[in-house]
Amino acid sequence: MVDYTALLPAGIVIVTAMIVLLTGLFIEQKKILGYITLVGLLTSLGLVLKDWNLTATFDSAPFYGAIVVDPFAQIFNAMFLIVGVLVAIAALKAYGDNPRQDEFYSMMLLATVGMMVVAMSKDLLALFIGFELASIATYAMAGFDKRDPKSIEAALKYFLIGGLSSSLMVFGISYIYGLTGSTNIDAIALAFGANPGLATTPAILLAMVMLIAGFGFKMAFVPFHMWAPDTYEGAPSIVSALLAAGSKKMGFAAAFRIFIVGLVAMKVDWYIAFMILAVLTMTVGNILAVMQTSIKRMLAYSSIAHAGYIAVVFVVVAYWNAPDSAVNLAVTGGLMHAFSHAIGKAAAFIAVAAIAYMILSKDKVDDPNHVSNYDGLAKRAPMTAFLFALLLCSLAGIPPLFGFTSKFVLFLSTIEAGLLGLAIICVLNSALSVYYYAKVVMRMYWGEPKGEAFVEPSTYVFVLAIAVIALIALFFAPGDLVYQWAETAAHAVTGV
Amino acid sequence: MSDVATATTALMDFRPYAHWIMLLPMIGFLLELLIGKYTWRKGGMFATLSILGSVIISYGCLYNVYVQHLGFWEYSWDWFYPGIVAGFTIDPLSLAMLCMVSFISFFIHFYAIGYMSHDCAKNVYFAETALFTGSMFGLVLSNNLLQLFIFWEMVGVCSYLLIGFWWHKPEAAAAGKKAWMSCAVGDCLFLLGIAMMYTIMVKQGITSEIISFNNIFQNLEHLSHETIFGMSALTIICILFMCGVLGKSAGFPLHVWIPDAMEGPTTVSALIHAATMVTAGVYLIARAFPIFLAAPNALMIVAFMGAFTALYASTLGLVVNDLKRIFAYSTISQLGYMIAILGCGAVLGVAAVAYALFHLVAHAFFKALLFLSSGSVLHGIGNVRDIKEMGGLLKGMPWTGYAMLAGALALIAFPFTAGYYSKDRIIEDAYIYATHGGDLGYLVWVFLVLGVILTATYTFRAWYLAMTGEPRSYPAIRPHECGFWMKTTLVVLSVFALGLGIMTGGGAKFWHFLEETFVHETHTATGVYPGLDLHEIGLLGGNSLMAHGAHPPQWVIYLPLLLMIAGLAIATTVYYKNRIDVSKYVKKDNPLYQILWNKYYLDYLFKDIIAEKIIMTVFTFWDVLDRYVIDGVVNLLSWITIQSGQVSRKLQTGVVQNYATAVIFGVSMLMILVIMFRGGL
Amino acid sequence: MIPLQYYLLLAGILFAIGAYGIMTLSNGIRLLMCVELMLNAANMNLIAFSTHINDVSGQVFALFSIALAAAEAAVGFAIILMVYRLRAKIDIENIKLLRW
Repeated sequence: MVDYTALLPAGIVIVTAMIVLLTGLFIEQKKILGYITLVGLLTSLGLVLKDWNLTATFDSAPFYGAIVVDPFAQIFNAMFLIVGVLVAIAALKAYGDNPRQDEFYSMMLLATVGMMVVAMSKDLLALFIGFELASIATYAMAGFDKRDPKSIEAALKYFLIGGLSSSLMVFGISYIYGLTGSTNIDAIALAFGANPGLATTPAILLAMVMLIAGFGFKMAFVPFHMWAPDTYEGAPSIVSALLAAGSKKMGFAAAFRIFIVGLVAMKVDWYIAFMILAVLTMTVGNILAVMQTSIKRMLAYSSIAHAGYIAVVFVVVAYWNAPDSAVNLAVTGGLMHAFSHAIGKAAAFIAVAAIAYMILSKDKVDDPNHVSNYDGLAKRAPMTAFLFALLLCSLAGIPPLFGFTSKFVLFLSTIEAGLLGLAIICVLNSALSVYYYAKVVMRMYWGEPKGEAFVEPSTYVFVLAIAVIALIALFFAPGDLVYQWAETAAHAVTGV
Repeated sequence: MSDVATATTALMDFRPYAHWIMLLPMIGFLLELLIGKYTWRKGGMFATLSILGSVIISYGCLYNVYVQHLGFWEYSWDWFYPGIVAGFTIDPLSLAMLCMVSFISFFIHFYAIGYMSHDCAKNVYFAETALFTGSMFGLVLSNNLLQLFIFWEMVGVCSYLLIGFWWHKPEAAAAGKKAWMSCAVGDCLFLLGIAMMYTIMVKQGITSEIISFNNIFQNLEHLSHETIFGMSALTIICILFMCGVLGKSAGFPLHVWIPDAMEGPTTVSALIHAATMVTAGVYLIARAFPIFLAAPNALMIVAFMGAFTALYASTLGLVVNDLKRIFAYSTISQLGYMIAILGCGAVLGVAAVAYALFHLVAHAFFKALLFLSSGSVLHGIGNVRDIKEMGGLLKGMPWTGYAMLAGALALIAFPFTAGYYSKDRIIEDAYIYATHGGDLGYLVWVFLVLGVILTATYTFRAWYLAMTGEPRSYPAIRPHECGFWMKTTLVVLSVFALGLGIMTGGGAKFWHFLEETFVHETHTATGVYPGLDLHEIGLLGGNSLMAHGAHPPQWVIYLPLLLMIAGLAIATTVYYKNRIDVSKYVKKDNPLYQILWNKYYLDYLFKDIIAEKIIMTVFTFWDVLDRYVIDGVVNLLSWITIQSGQVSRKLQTGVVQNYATAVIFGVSMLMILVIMFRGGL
Repeated sequence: MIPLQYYLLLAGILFAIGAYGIMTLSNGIRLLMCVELMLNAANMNLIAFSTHINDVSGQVFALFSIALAAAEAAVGFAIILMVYRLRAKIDIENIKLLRW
């Protein structure tokens, strides 16, 4: 008898989704569903954290090795669940009175399951199913405010580009399947190992490019990023939180699993391509973020820039001169940065939701996310402004917050790999990014307040406080929990 | 031995409690922020008292090490990354900084109780300054590069917040932004340097305490063989460190933010932009001195950057009329002196660190005094900052006036003041560096010597214009003297600005104590770092250290004094004497008039033609160059960024078909790229 | 028996037609059809390969892919319906509130 307890976290989330969906049909007082969601997610998160170091494979029916639980899967599961918890708490406030909130919660839970499946998959089929499950649920969530033309537009763009890139992805997978005869990632790697010439056939190259495009859509690499700012801006803020923090990391989970195994076999061809992708992504993201006047759009571009930083991992892995220690360090740094960015960006979008909520309650404005509404916010909503400022500092990589630690480890790996030019580009980009974060902080602290003080919604402040405390605690954590976890996960995925 | 034993029993060992020096102000920050508003005078009590606690522990540690000879001490524990520790170090270098920072910070807090009494957000102000002070202690106590960097960033953030503390002034907010951006560039490069240091240490197979200073020093011999791009890795690292130093310590060309930073409250200017934070850069070079010593050419770059900054900033000090900005330029210039003498360490060895630190401490006292007394002037005449609108203030506010005089005398190195011992020693030893360090070394010395005459002129130009003569604006007619809190601080700082040199036996005691840094061993919880042989380390970088005790010729020793007197004479002639309006006392037909007319003509020649027209034009040109060229480069960079942003955001058309096109285009481009780099299909 | 290349060629052509359509058309439903076309091209590849190498997992993949495409189409139509309700038109080109 196979022990399935390792799959319990995902199972709990699925069951919770079903409970929420079904009970939602019958009850009037739907606020309870939010709490059920929260309980489900927290239980699942607790199990993941308890077994963070677990390795379990399922080679027999019904999984046939398509699903694996290892530290790599667990660290991403934890990320998705943490983001889910943050979003769920915020949704208690944001959609507390909405008659359709059961749909929101169940879709959110299903999206979370989809992401978890991607993180746990060892097979392209499982990966694809998880990918689509998360995508379809988030398409619908992006258009959740169906009276808001911006929300519908966001969903439409997300959906169309998403459809395009998933067909690109399947097309790429079909070639890989055809040439290697399997959809299992380990079997594919074996086939590449047995026949080194295979990895450089044009069909495989095309397949890899298409997979990069497919995952690059989720990770928002330039030039596959163009939907992201529009969608993040138009979608409800807490959905943007889920997209930027959760769904985007799912792209990284998939890309790490496939490319890191694949790239070991075909280093020479991919180093330059990934270098250009990474540099382009971080530079375009940062430069365009400077230009923005909408905070949500600025956060969207900043998350593109962060995708560029994490993409540095692929450059290091693909670099033929990189020593094994640098490769491991890069993957570790990438995982840590994904972790810190997930918490920071999710909470930042939730903070934007909170601020928009407060502004709409008092001021008459067209666009509550416009940067001019943030003038003097520190005087009007001191707690929210303070926490938001700290979150932005974490995103900018200013100590003492976890964003600094993760970025530092990531940059360290580029230097250890001998990619000094890349390191300098990263560092200068990082300096540029300070500009637009600082601009917001300064508006909040030194701007002229536009009205009297707000009543700060305690639910939102609670979410932000949890995130900020987590980011500070992870920075100071002795022996660093996340580092160990990420390093174990890196070993699991690179195998060196 | 028995002396030591009795002394040991006389006072407890404070060294294991060193982290409280940093933690107490942090606690003060929290208390101030949370409940400060409801306490005595609506804020300020917790911050001041917590820093008093830091003062006590700092001086306790000083007593332990200096009097009881308990030895240097370092303790650390594992932190966020294997091989990176958090730790604190107590040695003469950190003690000198700790004692200075805690003392000055305490008195500036004391002063601020009076100065900020009318401000409505007092507790926030005190919370931020307490956080700043705590972070500064953390920076000084750090035993490794990364921890130092983290506190380095924290003092930066506090400084930006405090510059913009008077947020309702648009200039203040703009200044905060400018400071943030100028430093961000330097800081990022500094971080890059730290990362490189980490990498080359890892390459040596070191797995613990990877970027701790002492551990780096022990491995310098191996590290000096590392190369990057054909250059010595240590040199590149030192240059990157230097970028951070130029940002924080306002070296040329990253100095542009300091004059604007004067928009903050004057106490902030005194605490952060004169006495403590800006010296962090100097402290970094001092702390990492053996690394610089082992890196070929690194100290030469340091010396030139420092000397050039010293001269450059003092020319700018001559032309500005804003009282605080004059002192701001003077700060940049004096920091240049400290950096220059550290650069001279290529010949002088650890003595250079001692000289730099002594000037740093002396400067902290007299510059804090100058800023606080100008704060008192601003307080007394209603925030007028233009010295052309002051005049004759000495009558109305004698305490402030004479305190400023004390500070000014120390700044120009008037005999027997603190600056006399510290600055003249720097110039003498720069000459020794010149004689040993090649012909270019003379340039450093010439820059520093020329700075002396300019310093004397601009300092007393400010003092004469502000304090003597007739009031030149309405608020200057009836200034009001400051109150108890401010007056006490001014007196205490004046005593130290004038007497610090004499108290330390002409600086000799201080230098002897500081020269023990690096060369004596440091105890840790698990073992001992042996002392360093700086001669050998110097040879790694091609620097042959000179044996102790060389003396420059007599004329070199007296030259700075003569130049100082010359500068003082120029200022007196131009800005003091002609305040006595000649025409008031004489009639045109008076025979005496003809003689006096000549005198007046001479004055006219001096003041209006030579000083105002020629010299001022030249230096105003400098000023314009400074504002437009150096700022211009920064502005050009941001213009390029914004223009490229404007262009590339147009690609984001909002039409989803175009996005799809971009995806297909991306796929095609990647395919082409991949095929290209593997050399065809 | 038809050689594998013909299937792959057909799939490639279908894929290109879909991609071309998505770049040029403006009607929402047509865009959706183009996405489906591309997905089906991929499915055809999978099935052709599956028969060619005598392995069933390609066909399984195609079945899953068809099911997911149906779910995706359902959500897609719902979104396009909402667009229609808001604007009484489904020309995607003019939906550009969000840009720059």
